[in-house]
Amino acid sequence: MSDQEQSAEQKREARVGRAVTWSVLAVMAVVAVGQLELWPLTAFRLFSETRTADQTRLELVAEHRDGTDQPLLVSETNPVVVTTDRQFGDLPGESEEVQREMVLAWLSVSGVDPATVASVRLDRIAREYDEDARTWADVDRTTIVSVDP
Amino acid sequence: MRRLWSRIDERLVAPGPGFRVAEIQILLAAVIALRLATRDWSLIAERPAALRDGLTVMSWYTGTPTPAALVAVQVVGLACALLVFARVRPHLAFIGLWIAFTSLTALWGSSGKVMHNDVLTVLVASVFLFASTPHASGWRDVRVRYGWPPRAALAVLAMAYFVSGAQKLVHSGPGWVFSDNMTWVLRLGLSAHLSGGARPVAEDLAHAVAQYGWVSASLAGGALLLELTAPLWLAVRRTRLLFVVSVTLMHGSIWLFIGLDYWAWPLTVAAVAVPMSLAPDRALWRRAEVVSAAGAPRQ
Repeated sequence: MSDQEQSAEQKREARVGRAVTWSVLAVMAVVAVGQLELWPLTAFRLFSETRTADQTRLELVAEHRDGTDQPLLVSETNPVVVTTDRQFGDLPGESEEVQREMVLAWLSVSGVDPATVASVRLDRIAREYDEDARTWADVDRTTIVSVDP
Repeated sequence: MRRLWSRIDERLVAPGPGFRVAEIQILLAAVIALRLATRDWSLIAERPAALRDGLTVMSWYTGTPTPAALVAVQVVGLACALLVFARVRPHLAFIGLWIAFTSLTALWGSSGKVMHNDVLTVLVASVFLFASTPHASGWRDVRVRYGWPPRAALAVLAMAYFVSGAQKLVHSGPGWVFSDNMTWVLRLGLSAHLSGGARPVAEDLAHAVAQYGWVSASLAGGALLLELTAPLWLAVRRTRLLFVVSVTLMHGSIWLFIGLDYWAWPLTVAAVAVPMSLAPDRALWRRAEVVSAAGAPRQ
């Protein structure tokens, strides 16, 4: 290969390098500025919201036909399923059909027989931190939505 | 400004030795193989279709894969990693490894929560999908095609950490450091295991740190400063190793205090930044007589 050909080849390699590098960085920047989540493209919002003492959590509770209540512990042994609790907040906004599908799925992964359940309610629970006991205590409970499975 | 831009461009596309691309590709393949091998991917099959959520590269696939199919992808990925280590069709094998890992992690994370644990590895490794890898006889070659991929990987690392820090300022402002934010992060993290989250390793130490506001604020300040200055640490060869140590301490403390497994992040940083902290003529695991610091082969 002549010097001229070698130089042209190196220039072509540099163009590829520039195109790949700046394209990847530009896509990362657009996703970050647009606050988009298109995994693996992410806005990298890791702990970006400030946490305070005012905390609430959502809990799904199965109301059994015998009158007892059972909080649904969504498959604590399966790390894939356990994070589906992040979708509890989506439940009120879904159609009745989708609500029923989701609730049946959560009953299934929690090991609860739907035939024994009259309804499943979604509660928002306000929590307070007890500095002496070093634990969070539930102080208020409001039902947001109730679904008949 | 134009001169600065021109200098950055010159550095990005300066020629580099073939062995550096190969080293980083092998180390990234090792990180991915470790992640692939140490997780039970068949658990994805237990998630009902109704509970799948989030936009990912795998959103086009709406079914629920069988455990056998998931394990098959895992095995193919690990076989590809072995080919990368053995330098048998390393580029093709790396693409296969990346596709297997990205598919499985995308499916794993499609449960409603954006999972960042493996995202840095996937993004940094994506640069090497476009990189030429030298044959065994070409490790000593110094070419532009071997120079830009390691630097592009450094740039992706720098961007990821910088954006992560910038988002904290955008969404919370200085209060992310100077309020009692970190105290509540710790206290919430310490109770996460009660609702299926991870259990921290150093619970008592985390409680102690949360109790003293100035200690938790210092932790927050140190983490934010490290993230925002990542491009500077990674731009200078001599501070890259220090950055590896610093992020290992940061992610290690997160694991100790709130139990979150972010080990893939420091491992990915190390896979790129450790070889790139060496003099350009010094290979990570081969003898140093291959090329000069200027990039020309030594006589």
